[in-house]
Amino acid sequence: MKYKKIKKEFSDWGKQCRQMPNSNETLQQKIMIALEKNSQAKIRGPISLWRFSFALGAMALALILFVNLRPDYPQPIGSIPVAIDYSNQESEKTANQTSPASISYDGKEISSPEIGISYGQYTSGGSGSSDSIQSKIARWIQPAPSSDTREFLKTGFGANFKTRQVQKLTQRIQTAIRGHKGRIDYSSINEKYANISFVIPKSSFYAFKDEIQDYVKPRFYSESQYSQNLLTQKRAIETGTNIATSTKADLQKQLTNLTDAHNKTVAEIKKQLDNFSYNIYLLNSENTTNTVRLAQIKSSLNYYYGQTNLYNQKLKDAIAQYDKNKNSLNQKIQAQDKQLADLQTQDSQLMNEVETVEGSITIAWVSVFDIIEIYIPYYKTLIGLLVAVLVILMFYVRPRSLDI
Amino acid sequence: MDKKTEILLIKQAQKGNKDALGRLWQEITPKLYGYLLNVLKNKPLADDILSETWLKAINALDRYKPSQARFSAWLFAIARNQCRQYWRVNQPVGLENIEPAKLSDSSQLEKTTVKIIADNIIERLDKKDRELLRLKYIAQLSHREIAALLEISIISARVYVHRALKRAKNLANQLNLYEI
Repeated sequence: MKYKKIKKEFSDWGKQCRQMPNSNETLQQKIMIALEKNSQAKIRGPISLWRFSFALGAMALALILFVNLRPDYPQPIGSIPVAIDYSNQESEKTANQTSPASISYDGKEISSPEIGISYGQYTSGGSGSSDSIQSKIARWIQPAPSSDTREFLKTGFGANFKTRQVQKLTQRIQTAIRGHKGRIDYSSINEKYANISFVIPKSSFYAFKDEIQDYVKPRFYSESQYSQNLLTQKRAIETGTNIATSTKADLQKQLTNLTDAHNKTVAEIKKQLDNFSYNIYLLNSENTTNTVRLAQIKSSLNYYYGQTNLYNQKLKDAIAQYDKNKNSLNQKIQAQDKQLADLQTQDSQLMNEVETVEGSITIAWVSVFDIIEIYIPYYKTLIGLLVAVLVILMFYVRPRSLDI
Repeated sequence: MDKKTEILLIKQAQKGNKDALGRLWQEITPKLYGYLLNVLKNKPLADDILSETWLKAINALDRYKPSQARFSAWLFAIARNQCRQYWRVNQPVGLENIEPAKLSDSSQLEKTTVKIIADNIIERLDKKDRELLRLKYIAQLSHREIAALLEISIISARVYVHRALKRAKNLANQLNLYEI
């Protein structure tokens, strides 16, 4: 038997198989009624209510999943909640420090305009001395001119570790801090969280940083570093020192002038008193019986005694005034000395700040899901979307397996 | 019916034109019913599934896009799915495995020799070949439509049909069916 023949045989077979059902009319009628109903339904609305409800439900489910399962997106390095929080404090400090400050020094008034300079503040349990320095020198803060290119960099450091072995890693970091000649100011640790605040010499800071960031994989480590030039504060200290020095010199000069003037006044009064004494002596030594002359002597003596009393009083007043002015000036000079000493302390503290790095490290326990999220940041959203897509597909794409 | 006419009728039917649907019915139903009868070997059941298939097609007529598949191929896809759903509840045992008719009756041979011989061959072929030959010769689907229906390539469809026919030819030769 040939291939063509079997082909023809099957063509004939197919032709014979094709037939109308016995109940053709009935079935056709049924289909026509269905078409009519379908057309009417189409006029009522393109989307049937149940289908619309289903689509709406699927969308709502997707939305719920999207909202509820939305991951906490990884925070940028700078916003890690470490102990150093420049961003939060800056506005407060700016608000505090931009108010116009003025101070007077014996008629001189030094005012600082609104300059809006802010500088970092550490929340660690370290020295905490920077607060007092900055508040004291704030009144002299002026914007540094561009010609002044000196750098007094204060560095802050924050790091955030994610690990499944919090205690072990915390111990390693503490050892590293001490190993780099640093000092731990604050440390807290529990099973799932640890926090270390420390101070480390600037010279060993970068070596320390390189060492600790190798403790975990890069995805589990984030850091923030902050550097600020304390030139403004340095200049403020310098300005304060200059002002205090010149003020002290002025006061000392005033004291000298005061003493000179006082001595001169006293000398003149004493000279007058001597004259009065000499005249009284001469008048008392005169021997006469002339009544007229005696009356003149008596009158003259009364005058000189009166003048003597008057000048004695002047002398007392001059001495008292001098003492008073002298004490006042001495007090002012002492105040300037104290201020100079404070400024020197502030300067040395500022230099200490420049030479050290204050930092804070947080170590947080990480769950397996968090690890997945670190590698696939939006996996929860993806799952939500996938579920939504599946729900829609389940409805719109009916499983029609066309396999043989 | 050519493709253009079919598309025109579908568009009219989608607008609710009964005459257009009637012409489609007249054109497709013999093929579809013949196919279902050959598959199910049960007239009431074939009637039911034919009816169900058309009803489903009518309900989904708005979503039908002529660019994706021919309407007849689409109907066959629905019909196949309906059969599968039926078999999911009711085991197909006793339907597909019906013994082929015996060829001893000479009067029967004279009347429907061709059909009986082909049925005998078909029933002896495997399921895959049977389906291919039904779709090719009863449903008169093109290789492209068969390919779309079975989710295979057109070349594969052509090759599978050819092989099925070849196996049918060998079977006929083995059984000496055409020498009777």
